[in-house]
Amino acid sequence: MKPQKFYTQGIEFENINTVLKIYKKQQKTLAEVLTIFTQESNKALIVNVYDSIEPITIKEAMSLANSEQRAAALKHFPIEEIIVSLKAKLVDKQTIKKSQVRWDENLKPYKYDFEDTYELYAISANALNVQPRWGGGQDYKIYFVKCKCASTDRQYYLYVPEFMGLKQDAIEAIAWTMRFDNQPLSKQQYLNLMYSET
Amino acid sequence: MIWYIILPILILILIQYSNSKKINTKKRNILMNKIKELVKSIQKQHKQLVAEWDAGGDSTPCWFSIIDKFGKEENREEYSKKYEEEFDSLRNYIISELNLPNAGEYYNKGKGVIGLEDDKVVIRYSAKEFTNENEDSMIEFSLEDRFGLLDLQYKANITFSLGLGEKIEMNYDILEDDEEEEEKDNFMIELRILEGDEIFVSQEMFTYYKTQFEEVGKRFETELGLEIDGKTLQEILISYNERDEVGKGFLKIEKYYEWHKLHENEEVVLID
Repeated sequence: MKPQKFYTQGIEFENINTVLKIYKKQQKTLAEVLTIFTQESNKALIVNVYDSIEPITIKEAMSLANSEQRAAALKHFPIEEIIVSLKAKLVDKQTIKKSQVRWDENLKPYKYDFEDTYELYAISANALNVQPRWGGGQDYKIYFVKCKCASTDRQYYLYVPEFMGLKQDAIEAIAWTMRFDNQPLSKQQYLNLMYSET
Repeated sequence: MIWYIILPILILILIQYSNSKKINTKKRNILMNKIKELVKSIQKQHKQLVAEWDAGGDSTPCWFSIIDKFGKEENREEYSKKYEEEFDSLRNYIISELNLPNAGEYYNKGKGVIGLEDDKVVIRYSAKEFTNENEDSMIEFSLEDRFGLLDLQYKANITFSLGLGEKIEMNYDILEDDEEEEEKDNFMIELRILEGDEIFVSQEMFTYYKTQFEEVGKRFETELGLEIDGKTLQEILISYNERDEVGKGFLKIEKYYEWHKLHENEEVVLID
């Protein structure tokens, strides 16, 4: 007999427990989960086990072999929680003071001063359950830079390659994520652009 | 007076032009001979030099393979490198002599064997030239749903489709006999599960939905083969994928028109 497959967010899983754990993390009730399953044998199993199922943890989500499955499971955790759980190490933090001309509700311009903080983090590749493509050993690190979009106030976590992370400079890392003429910006170019924006 | 300056310059330019033309012609002749030698040596070893192309839609890919007497392909990486210059040139001859398209929605797909006959490089090939056009329309349709499949749309994307007619496919592979194709069902229920477990569709359910689509299909079947602007209505695809918020369902009717010309086992001289 062909083994059954189970799904959440359109992603296929081999194990019903993993899907139930994700539903538990989503705080779905037993009644809600039962409406999603159509086969009587699955319904009977869920009635028996759902109360004792624990919500999926970040560690469990990270240990899923398939990257699509990992993404589907991790979607339900706030990114800050993931970063703490993965023991991300703050490598560098820098703040730039900026000022912009903005317009109030009467369309009068005013000066808006604010600070932009960039943080460079490193996570061990092992904790992320990823293998470096070109080797790199046990201590291989994945680097990312945290920044805030000044217009939407949303936080972003952007990947930077290892050679950029090793420079241990958050501004240099954020500059690398931007392109001009298909070339990454240098730290100085990025700062010049920031000052001209100011 | 000025002619004393201009005339020698003009003569020099003419000599230069004529020399470069001679050099180009010489180069071309050398390359043509190299191609002839290559084809001759492949034939001598009882191997075949095969060209394939899938031209149109903004590109003209044409690639080569050398097949041994047992029908096995030789190491492509090795010979592609070794005969890169000859293949590049042969590709240009094929594109030019068979008038293969590049840009636009006009296609030419085919395959042929290259050989040497009376010191001429020839290709014996089969190909299909074609151009497609399609039009879509929607009609309201109430699908009877005794098994409640449509009630499961919250956990799966469910698409029913019925195909009428079919595109003319030909066997481009002139080295092989026509294989008998497996008969495919022209009706399909496609289930893309989003949440929970799989949905089981029994034979009884399948036949129940298929019968309804075949009823609809009868309305369109007579249109197959109709000609509009020189193109023939080759295929009609009828699909239904969801009911809207007020429970109304719609059929999407896609009509595929095609113009085509078949070339079977034709021969063209590539290099004289």
